[in-house]
Amino acid sequence: MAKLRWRMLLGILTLVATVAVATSCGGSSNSSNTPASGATTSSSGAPSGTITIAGTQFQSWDPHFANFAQDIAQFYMVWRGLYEFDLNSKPVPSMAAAMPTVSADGKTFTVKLKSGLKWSDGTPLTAGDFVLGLQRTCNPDIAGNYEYILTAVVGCDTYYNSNGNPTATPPVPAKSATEKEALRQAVGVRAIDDTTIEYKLTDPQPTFGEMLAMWPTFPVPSSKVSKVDAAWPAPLANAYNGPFMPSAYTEKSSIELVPNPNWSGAQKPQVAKIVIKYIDDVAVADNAYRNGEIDATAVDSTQLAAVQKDPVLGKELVEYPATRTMGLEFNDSDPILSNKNVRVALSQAVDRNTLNTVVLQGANVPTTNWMPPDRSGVALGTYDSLIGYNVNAAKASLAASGLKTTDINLTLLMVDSAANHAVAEFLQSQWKTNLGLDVKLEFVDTKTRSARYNATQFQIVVGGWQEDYPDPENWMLGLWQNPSSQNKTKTNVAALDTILKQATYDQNDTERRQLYQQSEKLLLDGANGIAPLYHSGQHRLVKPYITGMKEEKRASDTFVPGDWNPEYWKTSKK
Amino acid sequence: MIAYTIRRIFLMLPLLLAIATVTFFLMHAIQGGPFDQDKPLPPGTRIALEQRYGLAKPLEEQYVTYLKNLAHFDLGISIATDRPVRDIIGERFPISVQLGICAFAFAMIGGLALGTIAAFNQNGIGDYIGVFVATAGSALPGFILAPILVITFVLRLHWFDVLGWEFGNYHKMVLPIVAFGMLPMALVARITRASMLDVLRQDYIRTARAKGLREVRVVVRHAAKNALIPVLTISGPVFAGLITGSFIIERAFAIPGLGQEFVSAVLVRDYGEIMGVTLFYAFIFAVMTLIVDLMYAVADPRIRY
Repeated sequence: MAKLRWRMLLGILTLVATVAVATSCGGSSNSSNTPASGATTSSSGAPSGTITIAGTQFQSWDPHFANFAQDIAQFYMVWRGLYEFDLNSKPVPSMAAAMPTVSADGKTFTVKLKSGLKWSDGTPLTAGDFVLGLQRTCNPDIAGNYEYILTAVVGCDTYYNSNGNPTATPPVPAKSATEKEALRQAVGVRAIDDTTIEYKLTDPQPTFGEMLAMWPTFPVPSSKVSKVDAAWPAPLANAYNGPFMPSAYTEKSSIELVPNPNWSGAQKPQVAKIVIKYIDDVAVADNAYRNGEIDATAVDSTQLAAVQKDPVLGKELVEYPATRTMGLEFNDSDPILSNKNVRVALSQAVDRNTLNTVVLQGANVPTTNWMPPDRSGVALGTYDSLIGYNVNAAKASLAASGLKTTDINLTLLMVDSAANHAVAEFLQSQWKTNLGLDVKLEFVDTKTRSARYNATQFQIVVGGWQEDYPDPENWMLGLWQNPSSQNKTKTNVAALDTILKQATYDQNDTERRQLYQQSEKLLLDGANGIAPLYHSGQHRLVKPYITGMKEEKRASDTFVPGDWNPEYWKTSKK
Repeated sequence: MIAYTIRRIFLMLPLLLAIATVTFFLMHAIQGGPFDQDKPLPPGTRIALEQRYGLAKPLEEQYVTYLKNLAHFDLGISIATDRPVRDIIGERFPISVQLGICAFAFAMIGGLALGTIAAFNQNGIGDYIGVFVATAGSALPGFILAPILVITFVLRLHWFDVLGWEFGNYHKMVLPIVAFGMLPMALVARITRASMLDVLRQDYIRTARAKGLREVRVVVRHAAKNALIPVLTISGPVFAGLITGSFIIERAFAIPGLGQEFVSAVLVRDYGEIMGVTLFYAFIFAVMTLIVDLMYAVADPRIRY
């Protein structure tokens, strides 16, 4: 009997082990190693070698829906729009034959496509594909995160809002299917013929040409997606018009890209394969780089000083500015922070140089500018006299506020991380030492911080802006105007509102840019909503046998230098 | 025993319903939602997204819809990736299972061996080594051990890789298995040692030795069965804990397992994935607990259900 019980025990254990192993031995249903019908390496200067980089898993493979930088970085490797941005952040033709023809009133843009364009599957790429792409971004069921950049396109907002709003008071009903189809047809984009697209705007938007370089206006492969709200195919089932296309994909692990044989760009891909390894932790990516498992990665900011001093890694380090500014964001509607002198005092009490050198290990550029100088044309340091570090001026500003230090109860809200603890404690010590203020620190997780920021349930946060498109408009419009749904700091400066209205539709580019410079000064004089602290820097490691990355680096790079134009990458490692 | 098993399976249903209910309402009660981000979404976009994922409906209606779908084994859609949660679990879980089984085997084989050697060499060199390894394994948490292993064996010695998991490729298997299995191995070793010492002092063991039986036969035929019962007790939860993955180990080695997926889902408030993975974990633990209880009855004839 005892033998029988032990055999039963053994049997149960064997059964459990077998079930467990069986479930673990199946491959991922989302992975494939079917080679794409891409270019094959020949012996005469054809693409060769493999470049492996560290990246992060995309949230969505749909460019008309996507929201995150890591998604967009991968889109530009496999798709292109009518235009793309050159190294000077100017739009240049990609699928388009030339720059758009703009009507005299600035409300009609006409674009001619290059002839003979094809998708990676060999089907023709036509004007209709671009029409469907824009309609898709405006479609309410797709719910494109970047629909706002197309707000000037006739009918786009109306179509986008046609699912109604059940939570409004009173509730707004959804349109019927027939009505929605009519709204789709009324969106201001049409194919005049197979190679000509016409866009109609409600107002003359001077930056619309830049919108046509952005992912929400990418074309749709109509052989794969025939209807505006059809599901977007997965990476291995889709079609591509960019320099590369996926040949293998395993979610949360990696994606492999090979040259697209139907890429129409002048610069043909020079590597046979790009592998993006999805690694969430940059410290792990750095270890993999040091171990030779990957060829390029971002630098772990906590290790930056050590990397800079390392005799080998120091030579492989590539450093350049990013298009991101971080600063102190104030809730201007708070009873204490509505006092301009308090805001200015808090800004003047912070030594930005020490913050950057000691706390941030020299990773960024200290600043009192809101827009990076390359974007605004305003030199660094221009606003130092208004809100820059000056202990005596800070004390004077606080005195001018009429408030006693004991009456000033403030809390700094931050996302809980090791780096943020260091920044917050530095700021707290600066305000205590220079102003005698006891500012409390509150650390929460990312989503809680975002929710409270969006609801303006804060006094001070450290926040900022990462550029969506390379124009001063993107740094000002919507963020600081009153009223605006994006204005979470409740900034309320009448002169700023007026000047931004003027700038939005000014067709004279020089004049427009000057208006934005003036708007920046109005914003910062009084630290109305923001007191900038630093412009972020890009810090990347690239193996010496890789070329084309450093040469094509851009401030907007996400994973590695030059990741907006990987067709220039080359490797001498076999 | 069959009736008991069937009864336990049916009892899982109200358990899973209770877990689903508590998780659902707690999840929605905490601040921050899936569409809250540093760059605020335009209101129209937020409304469109909430409608797309069914979050514009009243909470009670969302709850009932979720339960109805659950009855058809539909675990909903992941908001972060727009994919069915069932598919995500189907892809991530096998990876965690592979790592978990390997770590479990490492823990059990290593722990049993160390504990038995320590017990038979009480206060001798074998005992000291066993206790040292067990104590060190208990004292070093995964987030300390993993970087130590990476620095030593990857960056200094270049013996192994740091990235990813590939079953059959020992370069990618050894370090995650050791990092993940060390703590349970230490636990098994300590319990085995204590239990074996207790059993070796029993009269029937003295009788077996007095009869002239070889020591190996004494251990295997007489001591091991009783000494293993405490180990059996913890093996179920340990196994379930290992096969459900570890956020720390999976992140340290960039392994796309379910542990890291689950923690990420909580951090980004991916409601669909939080619900689906929580219920999946609850199911795994309930099944493993049932199996352990059944194995008691097999191992110990005195236990009847």
